Amino acid sequence: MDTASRTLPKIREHPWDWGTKNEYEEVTLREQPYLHGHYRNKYYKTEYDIYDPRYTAVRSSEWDAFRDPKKFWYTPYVYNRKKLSDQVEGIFNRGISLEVYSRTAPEWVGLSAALYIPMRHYEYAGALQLQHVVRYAMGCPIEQAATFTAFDKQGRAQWISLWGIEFPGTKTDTALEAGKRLWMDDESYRLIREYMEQLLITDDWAEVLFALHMAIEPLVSTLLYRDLNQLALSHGDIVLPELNLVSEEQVAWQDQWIQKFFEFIVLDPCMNRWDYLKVLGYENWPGDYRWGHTLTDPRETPEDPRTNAAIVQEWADHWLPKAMAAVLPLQNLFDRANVDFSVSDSVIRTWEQTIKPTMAKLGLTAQR
Amino acid sequence: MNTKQKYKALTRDLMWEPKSVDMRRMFPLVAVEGIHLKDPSRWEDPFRMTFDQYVRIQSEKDHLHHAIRSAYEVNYGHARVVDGRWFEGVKAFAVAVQPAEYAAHRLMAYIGRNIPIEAIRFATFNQAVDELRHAQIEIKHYADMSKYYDGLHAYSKTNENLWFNTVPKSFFDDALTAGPFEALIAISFSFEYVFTNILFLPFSSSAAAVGDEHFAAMGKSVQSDESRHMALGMAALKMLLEEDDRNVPIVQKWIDKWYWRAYRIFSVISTLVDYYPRIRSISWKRAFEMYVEEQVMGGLFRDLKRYGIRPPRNFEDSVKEKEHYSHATMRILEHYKHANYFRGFTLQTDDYEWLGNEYPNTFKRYYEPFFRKMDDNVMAVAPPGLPAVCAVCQIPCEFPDPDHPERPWTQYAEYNDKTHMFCSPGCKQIFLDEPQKYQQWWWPAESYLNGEFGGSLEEMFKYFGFAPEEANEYYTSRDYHRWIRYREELGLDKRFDPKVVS
Repeated sequence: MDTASRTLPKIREHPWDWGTKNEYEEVTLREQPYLHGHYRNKYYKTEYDIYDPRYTAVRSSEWDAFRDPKKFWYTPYVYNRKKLSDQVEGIFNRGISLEVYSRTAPEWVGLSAALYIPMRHYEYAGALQLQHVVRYAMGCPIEQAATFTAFDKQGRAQWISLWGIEFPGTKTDTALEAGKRLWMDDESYRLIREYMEQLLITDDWAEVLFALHMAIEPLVSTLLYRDLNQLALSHGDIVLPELNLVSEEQVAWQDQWIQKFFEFIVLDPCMNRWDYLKVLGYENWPGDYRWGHTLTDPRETPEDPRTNAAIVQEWADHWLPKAMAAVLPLQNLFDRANVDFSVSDSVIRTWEQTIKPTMAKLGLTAQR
Repeated sequence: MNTKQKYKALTRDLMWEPKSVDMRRMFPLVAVEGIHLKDPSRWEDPFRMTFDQYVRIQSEKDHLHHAIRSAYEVNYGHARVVDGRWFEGVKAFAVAVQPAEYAAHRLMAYIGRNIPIEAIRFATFNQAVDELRHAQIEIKHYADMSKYYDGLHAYSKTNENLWFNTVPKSFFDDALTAGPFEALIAISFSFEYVFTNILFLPFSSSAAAVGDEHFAAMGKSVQSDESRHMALGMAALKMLLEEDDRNVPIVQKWIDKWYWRAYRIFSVISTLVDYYPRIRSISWKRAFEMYVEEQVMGGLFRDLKRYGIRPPRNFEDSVKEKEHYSHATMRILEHYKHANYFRGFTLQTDDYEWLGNEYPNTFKRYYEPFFRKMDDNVMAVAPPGLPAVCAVCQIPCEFPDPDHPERPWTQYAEYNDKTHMFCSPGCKQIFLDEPQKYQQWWWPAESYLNGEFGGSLEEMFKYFGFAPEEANEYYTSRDYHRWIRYREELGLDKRFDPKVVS
């Protein structure tokens, strides 16, 4: 027999003792250690362990059970994003060759710059607070999705910047500077900027995911990356709608995993924040001993009497109305440019078609 | 706009001074460590890399890497190395370095979130994503190995609970619980800039020497990202030093601490250079001279003098230890090999010869007699009890004083009505600088004695994530016999004399 075609006997079919079904699970599950962190934080939440369930109010009976529907781990993620990045490069190059912006209606050029360029700050702030999620979220499956989402947002902030320099701009960064002035000082952006400032001081990482991705993101991304495409085309702009299609592909994945994440949380009846230790085989964990004294005793940590559903409902009641209110003033920009478009129609459509049904699926209500 | 201007426009001035909340609430950790910043915006990102460039370069690298990995897997590369004991060293890397990469991933996100300097944040976040890459491409390799060999199948449990893993884990846990600037100096400067060359380069060339093409490729692929991280470390250090003179003593203290902290976790790397490969590319001593003494101390610290920065406090100790380090560490590993997921091994004639030649001043005199004890009985050196470990680096306190190699280097300090033990003056000083922190270290032996690991040895091993048969000595192990069987199956046991041709 040809030795090259011989199959060597394996000692086990699956690499790890915890079952894995695919490559994504092989390189994702149990990546984060759950017990026996060595020290407590020196400056922030000094009584908590390094990976501690108390960094969020919600609980899970198995933090490691979350799955990204797209099964992104590092390699497939960069492969996929490389394709998107090549597309963006092509879109920009074709736009420049065709001199699209010399034939685009000037009112749209001004309006689109005023609408998109300030949003680089919105994307960036989201990426920044997602890094807080990456540090404190429980388990690799969740924080990994947040990592790629943050990276996507940095990417979009750069795409918008590049677009701002090359197209409506003067091939310099003056357009970006003007965009920042709008973001900082224009009444149209005040509420959305303040919303992001509030997000940046939100400690609970799961609440951050709610505020960013369940509340404001659907409204902003649907408006920017979908609802304005027809308007752009009707003004002769073919660059921005194509860029938006690429951005929307990223956003679609983000929406998908976030919705799955909140199903995962809200439908989990778990009321004890230490329950997840059972599945990991640490059901008898006695707490963290240090020289005869216990740093953390799970039995003595007060539990939150609210269900996960009730907690998420409170977040919804707090963030959803703010998010709605934050996006509406963008109407000013259209009015100033004399372009006929209703931000409120877009926002209400997203509310009815996306936010309300998503919340209803979770058994929660959405009040604006 | 040129590339530099464009890069700047794409990645700067994205954050703003908040109006509705206090800046200090948004970045609550920026002042806690006493670091002063004047105008950090002038600081330049050393490695201008946009999102687009990142995903293009990295996807190319990954294509190449996974092609090599797949070829290695289908062709059973593991059976083709010159001696299967090499994989015991790879296992050490697998269960200790891989989780460290993952910890660094979370850590870099923490640093980026908490330091309000966009250029740093951009580089740190790229690095956060890189570290996830390293963790995952490494684990992908071990996933294949685990189907053929012992010791890896519950690696994360091992990482959570085993004494050996407290060494690298406590290092990264130390940085994860520090303030963001200290964490930056700890990882980007002390770990990446000073030590990653010695982590990845000698071990990768040993991998190539013994025929492990996959590991050699992985080491190089990972190192290609590390060069970016090293540049970040250097730039971050200079930025802190240039921002304000008051930062200098703080940074010096961190360099002192983290040099020794990083140096100590590399103890095991010294055995992966000197002991595990049957064909060595370089000795630890020579690698240390090249990568640390010449490159870092000779070059870098000479440059840093003008900032008022001197070489790390215990640097001389590490130089003195270079002729003992790998042997003393291997001795520790041999002592406790019955409770470890990677095995020790009886040294072969050629090992004695190489070690004697490379370490003429120390090996034969101080260490060979110890290893000879195992020639007839692999368990001859196993101590009956639990080791006393260093309260900082968590390595058993079994290092000799390099000035008097017949004496232990063990140090003691009283704190909070308790006597604490340390492996070396370097670790003792680190403890004394932050005793509040270090008295929180987790010692597996205490959890074991408290019953957390169950009531029997069997339960304890379950907690460790491997069985007693997966531990101990390599050449008497089932993994050795498996490796021989794999080779027979592939016809690699045939011997040809290259000098005889018909």
